[in-house]
Amino acid sequence: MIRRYTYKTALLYSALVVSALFFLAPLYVMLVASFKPLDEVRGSSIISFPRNWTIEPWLKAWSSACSSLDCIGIKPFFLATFEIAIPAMILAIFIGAMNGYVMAKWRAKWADILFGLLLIGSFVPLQLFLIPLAVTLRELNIYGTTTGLILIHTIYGIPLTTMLFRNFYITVPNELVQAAVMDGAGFFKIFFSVILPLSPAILIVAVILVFSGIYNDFLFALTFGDTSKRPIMAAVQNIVSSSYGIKEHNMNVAAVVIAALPTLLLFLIAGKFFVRGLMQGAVKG
Amino acid sequence: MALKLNNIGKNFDKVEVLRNISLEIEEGDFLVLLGGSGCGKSTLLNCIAGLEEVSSGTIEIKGRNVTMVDPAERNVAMVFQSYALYPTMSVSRNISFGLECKGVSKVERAKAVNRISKLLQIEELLDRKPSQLSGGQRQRVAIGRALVRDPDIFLLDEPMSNLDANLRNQMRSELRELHGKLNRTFILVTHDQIEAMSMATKVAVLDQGYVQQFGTPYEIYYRPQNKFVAEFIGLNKMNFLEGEIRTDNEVPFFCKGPHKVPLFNYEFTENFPSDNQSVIMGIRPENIYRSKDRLEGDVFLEVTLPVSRSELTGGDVQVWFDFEGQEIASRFRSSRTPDIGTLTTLFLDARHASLFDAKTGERL
Repeated sequence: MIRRYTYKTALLYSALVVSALFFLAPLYVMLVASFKPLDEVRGSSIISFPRNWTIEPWLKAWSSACSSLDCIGIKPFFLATFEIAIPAMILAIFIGAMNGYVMAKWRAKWADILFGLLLIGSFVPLQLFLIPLAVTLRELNIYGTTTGLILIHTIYGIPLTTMLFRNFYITVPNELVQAAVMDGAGFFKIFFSVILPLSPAILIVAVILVFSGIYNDFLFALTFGDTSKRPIMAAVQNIVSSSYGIKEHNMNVAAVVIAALPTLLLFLIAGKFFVRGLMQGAVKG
Repeated sequence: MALKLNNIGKNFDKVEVLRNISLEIEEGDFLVLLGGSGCGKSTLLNCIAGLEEVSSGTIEIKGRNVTMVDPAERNVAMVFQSYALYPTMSVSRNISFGLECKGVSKVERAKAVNRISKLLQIEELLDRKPSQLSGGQRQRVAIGRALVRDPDIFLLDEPMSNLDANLRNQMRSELRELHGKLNRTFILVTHDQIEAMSMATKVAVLDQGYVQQFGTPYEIYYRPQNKFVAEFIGLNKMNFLEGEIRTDNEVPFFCKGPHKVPLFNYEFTENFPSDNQSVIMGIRPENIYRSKDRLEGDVFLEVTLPVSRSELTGGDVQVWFDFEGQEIASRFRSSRTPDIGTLTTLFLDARHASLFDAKTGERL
């Protein structure tokens, strides 16, 4: 079929191209800056292409950038973030999926009221929780540890994951659960054999939302984190705002890009499933 | 005795869904729970399955009280209206999942799947997912999943409502055949009276949570216990003639205005009518004729009535007549509809008529 390009489609596409450029511009500026030597960063326009390519800023950012105290790069912080984000994400998703399953399929008493409370809980501004959380962590003797941060992120992720899974499981026919009950499957058998295999789309949504939430967290990381194993966002902030000597902008942007890379990749790889999952879980029901 | 229900009651909050239901069926019976939507038939099935707890009464299966027993321990199997096949499992795992839960070994499970798939002729479907099956095939897999557990009672919740008319007829005879072959107890829920009439050995007609009548299809059709059942059963609605009982020489007559029908062979129930009692006589449209040839004996009413309206329904016409201000319907083999107002002589054959108390609607 031959397509006719009218002025309308031209207008439409130019609007799309302009907005794409608008959103991609910062990424472009950062990427070109990170491949320029420092004097070129200072001397040239921020949108000009690098003349002398170098990966020096990247290496430096990775392994020897200085934050306030030592010069060890962002690598340890990068890895430390995964140490927090992955267990917290798995726990939050697992517990949320369980909660959603119970609320949607087991006619638990007060399920709707509990669900409402959970939702309210997730809308309360974070800052309100800081002091009670600090006290709790201190009492549990895990203040300033990775375990403490994992616990906080798990708890904070549960309302979101519960909502996602509950709304998705509401759309799963009850007869499926009843059939499994008749077949003699128990609570966990039904969850793992019947319900969970239905959930890949919503699992991907949960992974993206929870992981990027934890990964991008700054407030909790700064407040409760282990000072020697700061999560990445806090570490990047330290490096960028470090006041020693000259500002190495090329290295700073490299550090920022490295820090942004995991969530960026996650969205690129799983974005398609993300949209599909959102349609399934969050919109319906 | 396969199943015995004693005074089953079920409330959802304050709404009474089932009231005082008592039934008994024998092994090998095919019980159909028949009723309109909201009559409680599916709830009753769920109670028998154990998916719903009863609020009062007891359930016995093969002499064992299972009122508080878990669904899986009752040795009953269910075919759901939507089939409820596990979407992520293959057909063979769908069938064997129940055995898997029971801890049956892999070899035994494979054998069972093999046997069932041969019986239902679904061998070539075993590796497919439910989404790759047609409606009829899904239906068969759902039946297979019930069969494999070798239950005492099969419970079927409107299993044919999602099939098209052709397939439904086919499945109906297949189910009947299966019932004959297995010689097990079947309980089927439906709102379709043809299904009930053609498959059941026993029918329970439910309305507003009560069993309105429990009996064989023959009894349900020819001896309805009350006006509700009489009206509910029959593809063409039964005609109800208001009149009264008069006794003449010890023979009771049904009288409507100047018309009289002797009730020689009518089998009265224990509520024998008194003289001059207002009653309602129910006559099915197919027992109203235009010629005397089809009558036997003298238990009939001869009247000449004007046509009030008519409808052509393929090979038959349905014609309504005005009978002293009441409309009565009949059905004739004819290819054309009569003109409105045409006077026609009709013979109302009362051999299969039913009499009801005008006040309570109960059968006399």
